[in-house]
Parts: sequence; structure tokens; C-alpha cells
Amino acid sequence: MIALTLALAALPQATQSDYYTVDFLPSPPGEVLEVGGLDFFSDGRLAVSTRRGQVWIVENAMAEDPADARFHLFAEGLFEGLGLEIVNDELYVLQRTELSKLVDVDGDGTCDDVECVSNDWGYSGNYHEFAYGLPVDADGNFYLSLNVGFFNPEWWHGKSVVKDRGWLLRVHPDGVTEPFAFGMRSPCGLGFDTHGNLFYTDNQGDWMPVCPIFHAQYGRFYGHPAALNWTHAYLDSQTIASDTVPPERARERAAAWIPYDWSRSTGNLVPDTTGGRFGPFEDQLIVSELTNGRILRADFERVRGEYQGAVFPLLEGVGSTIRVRFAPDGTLFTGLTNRGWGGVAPADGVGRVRWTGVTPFSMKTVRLRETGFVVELTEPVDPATVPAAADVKLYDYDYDYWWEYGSPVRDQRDLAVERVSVSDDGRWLTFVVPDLTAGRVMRGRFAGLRSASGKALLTDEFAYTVNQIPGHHVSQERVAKTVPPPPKRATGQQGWLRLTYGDALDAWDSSGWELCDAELDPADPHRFVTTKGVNALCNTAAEHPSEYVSKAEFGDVQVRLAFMLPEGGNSGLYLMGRYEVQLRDSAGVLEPGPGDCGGIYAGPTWPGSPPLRNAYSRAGVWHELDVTFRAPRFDAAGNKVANARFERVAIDDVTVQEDVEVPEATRGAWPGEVARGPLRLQGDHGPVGIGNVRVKALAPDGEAPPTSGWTSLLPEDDDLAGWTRVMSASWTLDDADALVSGGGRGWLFREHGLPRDVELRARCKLNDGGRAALVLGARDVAGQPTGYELVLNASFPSPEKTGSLLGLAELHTHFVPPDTWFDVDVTCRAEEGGTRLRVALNGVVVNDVLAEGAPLGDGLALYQHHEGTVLELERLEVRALDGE
Amino acid sequence: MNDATPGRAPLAAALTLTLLAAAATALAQDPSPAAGADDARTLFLANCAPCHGENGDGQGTTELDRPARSFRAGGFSYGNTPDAIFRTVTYGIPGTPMPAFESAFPPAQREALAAYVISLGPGLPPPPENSELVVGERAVVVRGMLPPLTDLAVPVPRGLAIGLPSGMCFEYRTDDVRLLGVRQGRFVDRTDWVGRGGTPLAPLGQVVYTLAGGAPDACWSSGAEAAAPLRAVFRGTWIRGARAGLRYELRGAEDAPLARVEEECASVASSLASGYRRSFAVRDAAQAAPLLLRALDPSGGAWESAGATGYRVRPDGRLELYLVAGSAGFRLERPEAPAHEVALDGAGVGELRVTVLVSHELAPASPEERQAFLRRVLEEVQP
Repeated sequence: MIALTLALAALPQATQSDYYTVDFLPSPPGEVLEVGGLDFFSDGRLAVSTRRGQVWIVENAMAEDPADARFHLFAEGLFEGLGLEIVNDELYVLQRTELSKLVDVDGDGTCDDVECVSNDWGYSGNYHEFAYGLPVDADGNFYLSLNVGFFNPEWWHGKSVVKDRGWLLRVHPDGVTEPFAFGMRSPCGLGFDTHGNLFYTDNQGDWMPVCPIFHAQYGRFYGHPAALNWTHAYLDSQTIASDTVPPERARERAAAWIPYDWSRSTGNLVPDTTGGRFGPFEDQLIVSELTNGRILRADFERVRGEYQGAVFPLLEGVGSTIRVRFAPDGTLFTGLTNRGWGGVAPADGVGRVRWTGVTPFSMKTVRLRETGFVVELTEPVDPATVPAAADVKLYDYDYDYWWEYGSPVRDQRDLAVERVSVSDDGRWLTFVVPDLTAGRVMRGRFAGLRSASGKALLTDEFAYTVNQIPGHHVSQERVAKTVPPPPKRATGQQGWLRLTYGDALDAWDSSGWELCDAELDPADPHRFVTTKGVNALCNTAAEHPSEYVSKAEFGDVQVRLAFMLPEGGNSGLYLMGRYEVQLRDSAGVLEPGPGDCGGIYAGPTWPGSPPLRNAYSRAGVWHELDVTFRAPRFDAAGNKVANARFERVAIDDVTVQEDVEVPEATRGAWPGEVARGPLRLQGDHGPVGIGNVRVKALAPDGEAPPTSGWTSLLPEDDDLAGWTRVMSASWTLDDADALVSGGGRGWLFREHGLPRDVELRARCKLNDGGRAALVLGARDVAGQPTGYELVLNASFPSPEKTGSLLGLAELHTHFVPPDTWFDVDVTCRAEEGGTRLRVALNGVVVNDVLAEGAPLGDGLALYQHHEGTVLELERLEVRALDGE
Repeated sequence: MNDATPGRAPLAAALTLTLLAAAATALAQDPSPAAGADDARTLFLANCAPCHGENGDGQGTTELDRPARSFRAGGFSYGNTPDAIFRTVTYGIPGTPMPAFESAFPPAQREALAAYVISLGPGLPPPPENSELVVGERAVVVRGMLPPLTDLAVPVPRGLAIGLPSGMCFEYRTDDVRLLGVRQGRFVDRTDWVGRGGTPLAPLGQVVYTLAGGAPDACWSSGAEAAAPLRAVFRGTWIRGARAGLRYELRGAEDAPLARVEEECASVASSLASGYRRSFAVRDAAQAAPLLLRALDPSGGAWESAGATGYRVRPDGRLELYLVAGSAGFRLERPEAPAHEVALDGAGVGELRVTVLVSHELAPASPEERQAFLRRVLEEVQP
């Protein structure tokens, strides 16, 4: 043990396998055990029920070598079996339609009688109507939960079409079955804690923002309205619960809402009753998760009469775990399946998790106090690693309670920590959080915390569901807040341009950058290893890779991109090629400076701006950068009248710069300061991976786009006066007076009237798979309007994408997604040598080309390329350019 | 796809695959949107990858208010079967950014997309190789959803099948226990092991008998009101070697328990006629009124003779016989469905055995010959 401790001290980054081992019992040859329930007889034999209707009895399940386990088929022919419980050495299995007792009458090891304890609930045959279980209380009552069903045609609404779907039932030992609680959606796991409280997990979907853990109490409503159908009030009035309108019924608060990134589908929960043989988490709830293959840990406290508390990640890489159960020897046995739901491998069989005997350095509990919260650690902390109050990464958020499938995180805000203190014994951290608010989930991360012996935290995050706060007035808030049924959603993509989507290099000037998949080189974490792929743009392809510079130029702009750095990595994003946001591998830096990640680099005389906090986690991990930048302003004579300004810089949604004025270009900038400039990514200081660069040109504050001199060409009524239909495309006006295309291939042609030097702007939307065009300077050629064809193409599989000028300058970057309104602005102007065509999308010039000669004609056409295209135009205006 | 490892080819190369050349000179053609887009990966890149990422990891470039599904882990909102994903692709998920692609692609392309999306993740488990339940020397009981026995019936969500070593299989419903029909042959394929659930079992044997086409009424009633059916509440199944059966409880008005019944099914074969026997052991019968059982198929016409034994000619020309033992009498208000009363002793215990046989040869022509045939059968087969 001493040797182990010394070894750990030398390696601060301990991993899961130092504390917990994971192995799997080999299933009998040719058999697939899609486990639904597991429990132990008093003699140590394990019984396992499966979704294939089998019950296996396993001897030597706890043997050191998992291959020593002996499986014997005890029963088959059951209808699923998503719950198993052994009571007084009698075997009970919950089938889809029956709670059964399995009896070996003649003692030959094979089940003879399957006795029906109860089948007193509805089952319509719908695929989603599972029955889950199967905890037993001190009086011998069984508890089971019943899923709602999903039916055509509106199969996204869970419905309760037969009795008790969406309910929790209690079955007495004599078979009398009574309703216990209701409002469930997909309540996959039930379990009692060590105090006899029943908890259950539900699964994200309609009316469930993410996966919750609820404290189940008799007669209470838990949120999914379908179950209301079977209440007396609804039955007596013959009311069917609405699918979309939130019900007016008091609903319970969840004891925990599990963060989406930890759990997509939650299974059952069991308390650690091993008396310390599973690590330092006695009495806490161990929770199974089947999509990500994780085990989580929940620890609740009672505040103002309500259960609430913290959820922690515990283990990863355990396979699609739907059931957990402690064995007599303290091993955590796991049951795996994900058929029909999806999840990580392994996806069947029985697994075992054992504690190595080495206590992990962990947050054991998080408890609320009147002024904040306390964290109890399993070992004394090294006080030098305790973050200063300003550096604590803490934030909270809530969710929407609505019929949509799940809810994104809402109203996220950073929580300021006023003070952090450490107890004398180093085991308790106290945080004073003045803005602690009920009805929100508080999430924190303590990267960098070390024990006094040098161990890192096994997992460094927690999520605490704040329903009530000690010492405060009782709150009426809920984390899942009722919102009006959502209206038709606008896509959130409007106004953005994707600069690396599709052809990742087309919209940039660079050499030595390649599109690949990149990871840290295991042999040398200062470098990447790249393989064929599409996830990253890396500067590793040549001896001296250049910078990565956008062809487009920007003034005020918001930029988002993903970046990854190796150890010691150093890069930067220069706005306008001149103002650098530093990208740096600043892992573990407690007091970052302007040269650290998220800092604004110094200029020749200006010291730079350090990030407000170190939001960078570590090398080899992708981070998201979000920059809102305002360009410097110049007067008519070219003198600067306002400095460049970073309105906000955030890394992984944590603000690191706020309202910082930059009086001069930062070091390494291109000369001078200008009104518009490109994005420039540094590629000469070592390897860097970037991805998903997208931009939104911002209107300068207080300025509106010019409106005078424009003539609208959009037809005003259905006869489309002034326009001619060509071939079989149809063109109509919709209710909002937008022009909508349909029918087959064809044009809407306006034969004359475009000035020679003209600017055209339009607001367009093109559907998935559609392809269209605006044709300027057009003339009828063999029955088809021909001219400068400005391509509109988001997702039709031909290479020239929106913004391309067909035959002149084709762009392959997928700047705009389909089904999203975007603004296009084209100027067409005579110039020496021909005609200059310039195309801007969403305010960003993406194409600029000199075409030979003059336009073919002075017409304008809208082109629909094929049947199935739907082009919509909300605005179509032109104005003459007078020798500007 | 020209690349051996789908999902790994650089995007630029993938795009050069497409066929469409939309240069001005090519306007004379009228390409369909499907041309050049048959390749599932190309479809995926053009339509799915913006949100779900180019290799399906959920890291798309589109700004969404919650993360797009990663297909790499194999988890899906509404199930990971090809049907479920096809449906999601077709109809979208209302209330989320996942749009509907019904009008964008024909079904074949949506199917190809669904298969491709599955291939990005761990894939589906292989279909069970040995999903057939085989009856050896020991009887087998299986519970699950049963498909309808005939066009007159509907699927039975709460179903049960008993398979005997003779190859005979008895199908029951268990919400209100009734025999639905009898098959002969191999037993059952557990096709409900694929997908998420809600799939019926696949009985493999030939249907040899049905009761009312597989949709019979309740067969027990109380003697006081012969027409008032009793509910049969399921209590379980039992197997004793090659023998098997089930148990249920008869309930009367206001759910009052009236008797417990243990029912066994067996096959019966002789040189002249073969069929099945149901044995009913009644316990704890309340003595308020006698129990009546209509165990015979009410479709197929009236019985030419009725009582403890009876016969009729089937549409296929064979003679159908029934033999009843343990009866205290019978009622014939409905000629096609005689009711037999269970003989009960003082302790409320009784037995009834109903044997149904069909002749191997065509029925003799005259009633006298038919009765003679019946007598010969009785010599071979105990009622």
C-alpha cells in the first residue's frame, strides 16, 4: 500500500483503473444476454433475466477469474424481463405484461412454474410499452414502472392509451395491484436508498428536459401529462391529456437533473451497501447509464422537505449499463443492453466493477448552505491547488418543461464565488456564492485540485440540483420551468456564414494546412498524429506551414471556431490580421497572463489583456472559441476615431474577455490599422488544429443599411406583372408576400430594365437539396435566360455552392445552410477589361471576379434548377450604381 | 463510394464524385435531383453532416440550441433500428432542429441514409441466430404478442403458446384466459428479439384448429345465467416434463372469485382420428351456481349429435368429434356451442375433460355409419 501511494505521488494524473477494475463475465457460447435484471440468492448464486425472456443462474459469479463463472439456463419463454428480484430466495421477474414468480418445483434446476403475481396493467402492444422494475420494500411490496407508448402518426408525443401507462405501480405480495405515482415517460430504473425512499430515473424526451432522478412518493405527479388520462378527474370528465399544452397540475421537482453530456439514457440505481468495500461512497446511490456507457453517483440531502443534491460522474467505459446491483462481496455487478436504443459497446452480458482498495481523491459530497455550498473531499486537499474565488468555474442554468424532445440548457450564467475556504483538516471546502438561486442546476468543475499526497481528482465535476436553499424562504420555482408551447421555431443559423464547411480550404489562403483527423501523438504530446479524416484543419503538412488567412474581409464580426493544441501549443486568431486572441496550451495555469489562452496579446506599448479566468482545459481536447469584435473606426480623412474593441471572448462558453479596448495592433500584426481585414490564424508556432470556422458580420452599432435609391422588383400580386414564366417552373406569392418557386425546371424572367452598373440585393431561402440561381445581365438565348449566374446551392450535390458565379468563379465552401434565410448582395459594374462582379453573403464579400466583356443583356432571371427545389425570396431590390 | 473506409475520405474528394455539371452549356439536359446523389454518403454529407458532423459525431457547423445527435455512440432519440431511423429521417423530430426529409428524397434514398447512419456507429447487433424455440422432450411455454390466427382475428398483445413434444402448440390469450387455436409442427420463432419490442412472436406450425377463427368469446359461464360469461384471471403456467398447462381464476359479478381452474392441454392420436384434449381441474368452486364450459369451436356449424359426445361434418368433409368426461350435464341453447356443466363434489372440486378429434378419412355418408365410427373411436380413445 505504501509503495502504491508513493507511485501515485509521482504520477499526479491517476486514472480510473487505479481505483476500479472492470471486467465482464463471458456469456455462454452462442448466447447473447441482453440483461434486464439481476440479483443474488443467499448462497451467492447470481440470477440474471434478459430481454430475450431467459433467466440464467450463474455460479461462481464472484470468482477472481470471470471465466470461472458457470451459467445455467433456468427459464426461458418469458416476455422480456426488465426487472428481477430475489425475495427470501424466491425468484421474481418482471415481464412486459406480468410480474411473475419462477418456481423450480422438482428441484432439478429448471423452472417449472411461472406464477402470475400480477398482470393488472394495460398493454396495447406498442413497442415502447416496457415494464421496468423491480425493487421491494420492507413489507414485501414490489414496485414497477410502465412506459408510455409512441404511435403513428404523431409518434413524438408519448401517449397513455391503456390503463396505467406512465404510472408507477405497487404490487402487494398477494398480487393486489394499486397505482402509486404517475407522470412518467420512460422510467427505466427504480431503486430504494438506504432510508427506504424510492427513487426512479426517467429518460429525456417530451416533457423531460434531460434524464432526471425523482423521489417517488405516493399519489404525486411527475410531469408527463399522458398518465393523467387515468386519474379520476380525467376519467370522470372523459378528458384526454393534451400532447402540447402543459398540464395545470402541481408536479414534483426532480432530486437531480443529470447533465446531458453525462447521460442520454439512465438505467437503475442502487445504494452502496457494501460497508466500504466499494470505495468511500457508502450509502450513496450508484446510477447506471446505457448510451455513453457510464456509471454515475448521486448523493442527496433533504432541504426544506425536498430531496435534492449532487450527481457526479464515477466511471466510464463500462458498456451500455442498464442495471447495477451489489454482490455480497462488494463487487458492483452490471447488466448490459442497448438493443433498440443504441449505445456503446459492450452491449450485452454481465460486467463487474471492483474497487482496488485505493481510495480515489474525490468530491464525496456537495451540500448546500445558506450562503453557498460545501464540498467534502475523500482526502485532505493540497491547499495550494485550491482555486482562488475568482478562478472557480461555477455556473448554473435551468430547462424548459415542454413537449419538445428534451430541452437545451437555458439561462446559463456564471456564478461568482465570493470566498473559498479550506477546513483545517483539508477535507472540506466552503464556497460563498451570493447569487445561489433555487430552481437551477449548479455545475462546477475543479480542474487542478490535488490531494495533499498529489493525487488528481478521479472526476472533477459535479452538478447540484438546487430546489431549495437552507435558510431561505421556500421557493416555488422548478428547474424545469413551464413555458408556453413553443411556436414554430426559427432556425438559429440566420446571419452566419460557414467558412470551412464543405471545401475547408476554398475560402482561405494557405499552404501547408490539411484537412484531417488529428490526435495527440502518444509518443510525443507536443505533436499531433494525423490520419485521413475531416474533423480538423491542421498546419502539419509542410516544413513551414503558412498562416491560415481568410479570403473574405470583415469589419465588426462575430467569429466561432473550434481549436485544439498539443502540449506547449501556441497559436492565435488575429482579427483583421492585426488583433490577436491568444490560443495557447495553458493547462493548469492558475493566474493566466495576456499570453495565455484567451488572452489578448500585448502590442508594442499596450500590455495586453489577460483572460478573466483560465477556461482552457488541456492539450488534445477540442475547445470552442467565440469572439465578438468591433473594428476601429476612421473618419473621412482616414484618421482613427475609435479603437478596435473585443466585446466578448469566450472559451467553451466561459467569458474570458469582456469589453476590452485595444489601442494598437498587437505584436506580430500586419502593418497599420484598417476598417476591414481578414481572419488570420497563426500556423508558424507549432501544431494547431482548428475547425468549424463560422462568422457573422455585425451591423455597426447604430447604423442601418442604406435604403434610398432601391427599387423593389418583387412581384406584388399573383399575375407577376413585368415577369415572364419560362419552361415549367411555377412562381407564386405566399401569405407573407414572399415569392416561392415550385414545379419543374424553369425561370422567372424580366427581360429588360437592369442598369449596366447595378447592385442587387435579395433575401433568399433555399430548401434542402434545392438548387437555384439569380441571373444578372440576362438575355434570352435559345429560349433560356442566360447571363451571369449567381448560384444558390446549399446542399445539392454539385460542387458550386451559394455565392459561386457559374463558369467564372466557383466557390466550394458551403457558406450557408439550407432552409435558412440569408442575404445576398451582388454588384455588377463595368471596368476596364470587362465587368466586375462582387458577391456578398450575409454582409461578407465572398466572391470578386472580373468577367470578360459586357453583360449579354439587361434582364434579370430567377432560376429553378430542378423539380423539388423551393426558392423563396422575401426581398429583391436593385439600384443603379453611379460611378462610385 | 470510391473509398474503402466510408467516413474517412477528405470531404473535398467526396464532392468531386458528383455527376452534375451545371455549366451553362449543360442546361439542355434535365437532370433529376437523384442523379449523382444515389450514394448514401454523398446524401449524408449534403443533408445530414451540417448538423451531425461529417463523420456523424454530432460536431456539425450549424448553430443549434442543443447538441445534434452523435451517431458514433449508436444512440438515437427514437430507436436505432432501420425502421425507426427511416421514420425519423422521413418525419423529423418536431420541436427539435431535426427536419423532415420526406419531400426531399424518395423512400429508397431515405432507407439508404438510415442504413448509412447506422453504419457510422457501432452498428446493430446481429439478428439472433438461434431465435427458434425448439420443443424437445420437455414442454415449452412462451409468452409474447401473438399474430392473428386467421383474418377474423387481431394480434393478441398478451399471448401465450404452449408447445408439446408431439409438435402440437396451443395458443392462448392471457388478459382473459381463452384458448384461441391449435397448431401442429415446429414451435415458435422469437422474432420479438429484434428491434425494440412490440413485435409479435412467429409461431411456426400449421393452424389445425381455431376457436371462432382465433377470436372466441369467454368460454366459462355461471349456470345461473348461462349467457353471462365469467372473467378468467390469469394465474400462471406450469410444466411437468412433457405435460404443461395454465392456471386461472374465474370471477363473477363484482369480481367475486368463483373457482380456480388448472387447464392442461395434450395431443391425442389414434388410428381413426386425432386431435387434442383439454383437461380442467376445478378447485374452490363457490357452490352458488354450477359452472358451465363451452370449449368447442362455435363456428363450423351445429353438431349433429350432442351430449357427452357429439359429431359434425367439417367443410373439408372430415368428421369432427368431441368427447366430454366429468360432466354433470349439458345445455344446448346454442346448437353450435353446447355447454357442459362441471360435476363438483362437496368441497367445490371437479374435473372436466374435453377431447376434440378429426377423422383422418372423409366422413361416412349416413348418420348410422357416423355413429358407428364414433363408437369405434371411443374404443380407442378414452374421453
